[in-house]
Amino acid sequence: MELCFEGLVKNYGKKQALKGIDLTLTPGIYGLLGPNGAGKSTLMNILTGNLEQTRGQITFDGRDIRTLGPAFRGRLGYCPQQPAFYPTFTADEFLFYMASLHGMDRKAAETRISWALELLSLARVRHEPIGGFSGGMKQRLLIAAALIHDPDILVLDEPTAGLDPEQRIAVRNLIGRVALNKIVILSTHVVPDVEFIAKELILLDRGQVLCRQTPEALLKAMAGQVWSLTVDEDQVEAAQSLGQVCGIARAGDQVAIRLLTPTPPKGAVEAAPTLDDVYLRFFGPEAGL
Amino acid sequence: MRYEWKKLLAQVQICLLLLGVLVGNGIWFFLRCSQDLGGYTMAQIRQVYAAPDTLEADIALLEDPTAAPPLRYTQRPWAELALLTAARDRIAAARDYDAFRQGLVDDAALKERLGLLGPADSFEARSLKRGQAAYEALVGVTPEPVFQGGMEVLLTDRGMDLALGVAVLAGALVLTTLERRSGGMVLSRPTRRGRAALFCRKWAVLACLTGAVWATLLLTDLAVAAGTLGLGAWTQPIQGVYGFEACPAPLSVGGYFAIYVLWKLLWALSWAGICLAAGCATGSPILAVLVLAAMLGGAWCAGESGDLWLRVFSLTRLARLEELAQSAAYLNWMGTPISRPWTALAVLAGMGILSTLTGLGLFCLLPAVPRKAQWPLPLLRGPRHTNLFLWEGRKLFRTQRAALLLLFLALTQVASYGPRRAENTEYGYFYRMYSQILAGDPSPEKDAYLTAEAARLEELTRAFAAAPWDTELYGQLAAEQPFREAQEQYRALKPGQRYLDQTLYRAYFGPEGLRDGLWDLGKVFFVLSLALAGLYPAERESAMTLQLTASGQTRRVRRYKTLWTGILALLIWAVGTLPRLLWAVWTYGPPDLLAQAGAIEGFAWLPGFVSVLALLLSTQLAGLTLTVLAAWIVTFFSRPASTQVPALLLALTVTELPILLLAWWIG
Ligand SMILES: Nc1ncnc2c1ncn2[C@@H]1O[C@H](COP(=O)(O)OP(=O)(O)O)[C@@H](O)[C@H]1O
Ligand SMILES: [Mg+2]
Repeated sequence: MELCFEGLVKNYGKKQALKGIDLTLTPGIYGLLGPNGAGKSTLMNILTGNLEQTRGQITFDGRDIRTLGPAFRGRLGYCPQQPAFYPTFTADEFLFYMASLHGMDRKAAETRISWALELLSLARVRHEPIGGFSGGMKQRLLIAAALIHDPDILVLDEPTAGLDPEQRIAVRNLIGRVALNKIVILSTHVVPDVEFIAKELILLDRGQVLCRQTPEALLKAMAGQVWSLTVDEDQVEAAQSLGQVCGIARAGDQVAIRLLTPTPPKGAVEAAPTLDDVYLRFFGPEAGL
Repeated sequence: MRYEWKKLLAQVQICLLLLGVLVGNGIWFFLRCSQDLGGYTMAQIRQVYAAPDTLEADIALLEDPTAAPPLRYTQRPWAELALLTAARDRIAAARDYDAFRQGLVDDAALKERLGLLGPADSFEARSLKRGQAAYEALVGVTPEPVFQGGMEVLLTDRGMDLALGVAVLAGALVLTTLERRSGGMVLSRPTRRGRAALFCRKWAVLACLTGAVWATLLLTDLAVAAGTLGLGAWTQPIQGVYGFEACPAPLSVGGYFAIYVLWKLLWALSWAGICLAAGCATGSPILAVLVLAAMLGGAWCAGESGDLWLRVFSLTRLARLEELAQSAAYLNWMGTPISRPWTALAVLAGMGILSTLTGLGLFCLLPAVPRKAQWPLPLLRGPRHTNLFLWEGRKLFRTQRAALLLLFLALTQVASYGPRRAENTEYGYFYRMYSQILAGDPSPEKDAYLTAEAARLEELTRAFAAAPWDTELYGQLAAEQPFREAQEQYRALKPGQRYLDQTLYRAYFGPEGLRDGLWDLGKVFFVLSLALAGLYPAERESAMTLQLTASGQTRRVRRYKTLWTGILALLIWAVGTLPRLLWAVWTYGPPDLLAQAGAIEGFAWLPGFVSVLALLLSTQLAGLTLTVLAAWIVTFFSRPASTQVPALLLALTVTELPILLLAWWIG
């Protein structure tokens, strides 16, 4: 199973949202990381057929997915970024509808749906209309809908948006569990979502892949670039100019500053890099806002 | 506020609809101004006004069959005569106004003197006195006979009401039902006061839209009137405008026009309030339009009733300001005559205020997210299956409310045809009696019967001539005319034709039948538009298109939707049009299916091989074809639409407009 993006370009009028994406994906979880507006959704929409690319192609096992048609789409599970469901349907009805969309038979649908609802702790509300759900419940329902037909390729567009920390972790673990033998593409701008489960991280910015690495490699590349500097309060201003600040914390009556810089500042201690540091390094401080 | 405007005008289809309404109104009014009024047009009347000297002489010549007709304006003498008389009527109405007015006063005085209207303190007598006083006060009003055709057409035009109503409805639906559907309400203004403020902004936007549309409509019509017929003299008294002679108010044309402008604005604002309330109450464009249609139906019935009080409470009737101005009729308030225009004004304003307050209350109190209760019984819960076709049906019948609409249509049809009874006239009774005897193939026995019956009736006539006081004989003679008709019909049968009792066919194919059939089609199109217009945009509104495309089943879903559209069209057609046929058959007995249809009144042109069955089937088929065509049109608007409201309104307008025009055309 191999999914290839070849020179994928997408223009919205004059604006270039994707500027030539080349990627080859094999089973495993890929964290598609990038700030808002990076082009993550655009990429996923092209993959799911909701957008037409301007140039380039996506191939699945060597064949253009546009010619594969339903044969490819049937193996796709998609969790859109927007709330996409019928508000008057109950959770149960909606999932059965999705199951029929994927051509499942009734028995299989019943087991899978019960499984998914249980897993995403929606079993209690399964007979309530979705319109009355909270944001987190809606989001979990969308994830459930993407999972019920056991797809080979799972496309999750910011699946953890609107979830509380506990649910975030639960969803992350769930994805880690179901991802076996699947190509999972999970977009997010929140690093911890993919920190421990991703096989590789794909960093996307302004329509370009900045880098594609395993989390370990990324961290390794950052070695010797993150420093912790402890200074007095009145020196904080000055210390900030020494590099990119990725953390300020009070340490007793002094202040500990985490700095991102290739040249070690005087008196600094090397710190262990985290993926948050990686994110900041690639997307700059303004990306965090 | 800016956001609300944006929401309204960002809908390309809504802008198209508004534009269509404005342009359509202009075209309609142009056609009204140049309409054929029976051989002549308003513009020709204007020409006659320009040369009034020859008028009387020309009419005299035209009425004289031996004289050569002077054809100054038209080609045909009858049209010329109609034109000249129409012009003379108008000129005379203005010139002889004072005499006419004095006649009204004297008439009232005479009636009073004779005590025709009961005691002096009765309502009739008092309203007569009030009217008399009003006309007496008009002494000195002397309209000049100037051509006021432009105003005559403009002030009584219904096209503007329709255009204004549709535009206001469109705005109200977008403002009230769009946000809630897309879940935006959850994000915006959760507090009561915040929501009240939001509602006020919506109202303000709608009021501005109403004013703007009204101004545009008015300017268009004024421009068209000025271009085709001229605007007349606005300083003249309104009594000089044809049709307004009996206006009891001392107004100039300009004054009346100002009142007209404000009145229609108030009317539109009241309608806007009602639309807003309906939108807030239902939160769904389909239900809102359904509720509004039911209300308008009620208002229309009230407006058509003879009762002045009922009429004053009918919004559709209240649009006709000219009716309030064209006579001095008073409302009976516990024996006291009270002014009709002022009451109507109070009612109209009251309606507007009340409905706006209702809308405000509903908007603030109803939960932002429609949270339906759980299904109470597990058995009644939605079906759990994986049949996509059935799911698509569920979406149509439950989410798009096709089931409810079908039920509504069925109830409407039961209500309109259920209580209807056969017309029982003596004539009809005898005609049917003879028809039963003559029905079927002609035969020598029937010939003999006819001869015998003719002889018997002749005998009766003779006997009655000898004894005209004999009521029994007179009663029996009532059979004579129907007998003649049946006999003539029998004699006129062509070879191969069978005698048919025409009662059933008259009820079904006659003018009244056709009018009912047209209304049935109107109802069918209405329900069809409501049920189908949202089918495709609902997927986009809920962003489900993303899921459908990703699953690769878009085409299958669309195919099923098309199938269901066909099924629904068939159902709606059956529920909407068959009751009329069933009613006719139920009331007048079954048709002679195998007889030649050429024997039916009005169908003599049909070739011999067409049977009654074939005729009935083909009319049903024509109805079905029209229904399917309407479904296609609705789908045509629905497919590309991103939101339901504009698709719904466009579909409604396009399918109902021909019905309205046809209804207007056949009167
Ligand atoms: N329909 C559209 N029309 C024009 N520009 C768009 C459209 N959709 C997205 N964009 C632009 O394309 C870029 C990428 O958007 P998107 O893929 O949604 O980013 P992400 O999902 O990473 O936040 C953004 O700059 C956005 O403004
Ligand atoms: Mg996105």
